[in-house]
Amino acid sequence: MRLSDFLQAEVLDDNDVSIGRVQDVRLIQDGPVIGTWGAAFSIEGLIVSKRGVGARLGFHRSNVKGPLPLKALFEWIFRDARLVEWERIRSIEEGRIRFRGTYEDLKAPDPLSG
Amino acid sequence: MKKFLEITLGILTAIGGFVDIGDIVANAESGARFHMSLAWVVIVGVVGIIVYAEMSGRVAALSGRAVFDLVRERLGPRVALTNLLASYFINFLTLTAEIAGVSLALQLASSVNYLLWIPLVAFLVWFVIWRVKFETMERIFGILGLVLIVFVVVVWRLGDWHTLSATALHPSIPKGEGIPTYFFFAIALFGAAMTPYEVFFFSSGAVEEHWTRTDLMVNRANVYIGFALGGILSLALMASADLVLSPGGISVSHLSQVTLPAALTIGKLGVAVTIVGFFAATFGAALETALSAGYTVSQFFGWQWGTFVKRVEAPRFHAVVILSVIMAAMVGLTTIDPIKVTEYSIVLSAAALPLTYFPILVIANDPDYVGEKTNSKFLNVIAFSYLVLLVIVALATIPLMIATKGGS
Repeated sequence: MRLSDFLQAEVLDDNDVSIGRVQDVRLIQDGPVIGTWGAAFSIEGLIVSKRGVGARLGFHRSNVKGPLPLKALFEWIFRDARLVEWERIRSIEEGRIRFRGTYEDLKAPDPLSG
Repeated sequence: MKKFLEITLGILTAIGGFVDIGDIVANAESGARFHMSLAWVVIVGVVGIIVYAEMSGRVAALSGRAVFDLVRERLGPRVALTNLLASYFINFLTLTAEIAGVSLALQLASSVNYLLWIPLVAFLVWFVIWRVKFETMERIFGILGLVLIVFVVVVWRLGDWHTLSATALHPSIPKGEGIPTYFFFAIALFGAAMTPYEVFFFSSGAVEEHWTRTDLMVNRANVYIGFALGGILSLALMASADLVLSPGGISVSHLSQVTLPAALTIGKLGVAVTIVGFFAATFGAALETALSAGYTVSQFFGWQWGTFVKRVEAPRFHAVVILSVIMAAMVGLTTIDPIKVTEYSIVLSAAALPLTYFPILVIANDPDYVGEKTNSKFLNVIAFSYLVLLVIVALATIPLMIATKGGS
């Protein structure tokens, strides 16, 4: 399975209610060291939101400082975004991902530092 | 010393390369119809292109990546495809207008109808791209375009500063012209100054010339000095049309009319120099737009692009360039009015401006691409104000085009 298969997949909660689509995948580099390449990546979780336009602009990163009106606008647009931790994932089908819990159980993603 | 020479050459190239068929037509037509009442738009447009070209050059020098490459990465494939289609179409119209413009300049010099020149010009455009080194072609046509300074000489000789400053400082709408037409021409001038291909070409050119951090000085010099002085050429075109064409009631419908001020004040030599200037400016822009067609498409699809690699390594890039040139020549040969094509290309450019400039503003703020050289707060205030202006202009363009029947 490729990482890009996750993107835009619909994400459903315990009650089969859609909470949006996968806009981004968060990785952490905490795996075993692979040769000279460095530590392997593992998936921390999926960023899910009902809104898609501008998800990749990077305004959610804390080191992107401006322009302020645009940063504020896109943070407002993505205020519904939630991090679905990888441990919560129950099943992955083509274009559809189910997780344990409901929207209320999820946290908003932390702004990345870099 | 070498760096100094490089900076000077860059500036001269930027001045000469600034003016193209769109600037020639829009400025001469505005001057003839509205005196200097639209001079302020040229200044607003030049500051805008300076702000955004500097950002795109900085991003290219620091990340080694050109504008369209980033458009796709940041807007995603779907939005970027819409962006690509719009940008390609407008760039194609501009390419058609430039090829026709070169042919019109050759018609002025030879009295042979421009339609007969189009196939030869199209071939030459391709041939130069195919054979000549990037830097060499950029410099030859940029510096040759400098002879358009003849318009500054014309305005100087006429010396009627009183007439010029009267409308430049107190813009008013002449009798017989409506407010919508005034704003339609404002948009045309703005679109001509901020034509998107300028940043596609500028940023891809920076990658072609392997700019690095040490070239940030060259970037700033080219943009701040070169583009600003290029803007003065635009204003001189407008002023000469105001002083010579406007009193005679001549509105610009053919390129030959734009040579009249030089003919009247300097004589035959003036006309000859003007024609050389038109040829260089339009031919240089034809090269830039033909290359931009290849740049945008290849950068979107992730193909190897550029003239800095062996031709065999970038076959799809060269194929797009050749096909675009052939198609533009075919459109030009349909006897479609070249001046009209130019007008539509700059006005539609204005409608698409936010698509091009928005991603540049985002990336120029992203440390992942430009390290610590992100925009200052001051620059962001200006750049964001321009973005708002671009959106307003884009929204107003099509309604104004319909309301004024294309400015007629």
